[in-house]
Amino acid sequence: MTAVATQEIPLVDLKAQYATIRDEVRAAIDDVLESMQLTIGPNVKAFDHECRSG
Amino acid sequence: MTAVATEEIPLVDLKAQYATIRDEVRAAIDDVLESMQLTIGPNVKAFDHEFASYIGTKHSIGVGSGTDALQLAIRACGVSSGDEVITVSHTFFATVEAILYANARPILVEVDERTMNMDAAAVAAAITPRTKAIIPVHLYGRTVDLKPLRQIAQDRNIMIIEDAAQAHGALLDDGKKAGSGGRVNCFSFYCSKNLGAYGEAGSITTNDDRLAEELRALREHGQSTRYYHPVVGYNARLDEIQAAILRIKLRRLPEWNKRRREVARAYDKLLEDSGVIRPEIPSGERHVFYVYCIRVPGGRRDDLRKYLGERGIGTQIHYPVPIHLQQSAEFLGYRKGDLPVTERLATEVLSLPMYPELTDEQIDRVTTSIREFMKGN
Repeated sequence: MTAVATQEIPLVDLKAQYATIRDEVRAAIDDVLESMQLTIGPNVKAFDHECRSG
Repeated sequence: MTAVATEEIPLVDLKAQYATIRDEVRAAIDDVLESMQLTIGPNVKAFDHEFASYIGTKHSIGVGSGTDALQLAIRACGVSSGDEVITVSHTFFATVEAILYANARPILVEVDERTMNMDAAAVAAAITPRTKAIIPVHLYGRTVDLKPLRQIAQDRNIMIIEDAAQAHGALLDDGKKAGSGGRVNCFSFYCSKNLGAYGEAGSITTNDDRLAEELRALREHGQSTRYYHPVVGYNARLDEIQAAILRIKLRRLPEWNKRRREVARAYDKLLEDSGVIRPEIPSGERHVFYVYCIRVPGGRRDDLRKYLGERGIGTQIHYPVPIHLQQSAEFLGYRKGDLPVTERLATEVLSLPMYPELTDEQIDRVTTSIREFMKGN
């Protein structure tokens, strides 16, 4: 049997996942940049809360 | 006269600067995300190269924060338990934290009242056989004279580690850039800095090939190659998104520093004979004014701060409690009165709004309000 490898299967494919959430991620980054609240602001607080609430 | 404050003048306005580079930053972040190379990839490598070239050293090692830079630098210099490291008490806490992380003893010395920076005579008096390093802090963006420190350190095997966390682009007494004068030197790219990331980042600069190699390993868990750890290191990597942003901002740093100096000169002129003590503006580019720090004598500092705050003008105190009087430093055994100049400065210093996008009208409003307060009341 001869393997004809046409496409790589990486150990981890972060690009494949990013493609499914690209628009949301870009919009969220834009929001942070427009606010210029860069450390321990609303997103850190919200994320901490969301983790705690499970 | 009634002050009609229509617009807030913050201490630092990151939004004003972002507006000037928005498109470039968004495109660079998109590129990193599309590549999904997120740690020590092409941007970190390029930034390390570009920053070293800007500072004039052979190496720059990008790390996760200015505190990482100090911690790794001190470690790489071989500072350990029982060693003494001399620095100032009139500084941000991270300098001393990093010394304590190495289990070394911080020896906190006095500053010169005129420059508010490390007093070389105090350093000379603090030298002991255990002194391993001296960390001059270029506070507010003004560089410390390294020549007298080099004279103290030479022949004693004492290392100089510059803390250039507030002095990106400032020149030293030898005309070279801050961050090129010590055995290793530390930078912070905290978001408010003259060169600031959009989050946390830092760098260590050095001309020493062996130390550079060691520092590159230390920032990645002491790895020589992946999963092989000849030494115990740190998780202190600079990430690709921050490096991409820093590359864009580094190109504008000279022009931003120039404008900061213009703002400082405008403040200096407009606050003449106002009753506040203005910071000395050294000739050349010795000062890059990360902070424009006036002194308010006669116990009026806090009232002036309140007065300005009521008029929408942001200020800050850098720093209200000297390190030697911090609660966490009690075990070092210092007492109130040990460093009188430092302690008095802590009651007098007041930082005014300072950023390259500050307009002449805003400067005028700040200085007019200060003059009103100092004249009246």
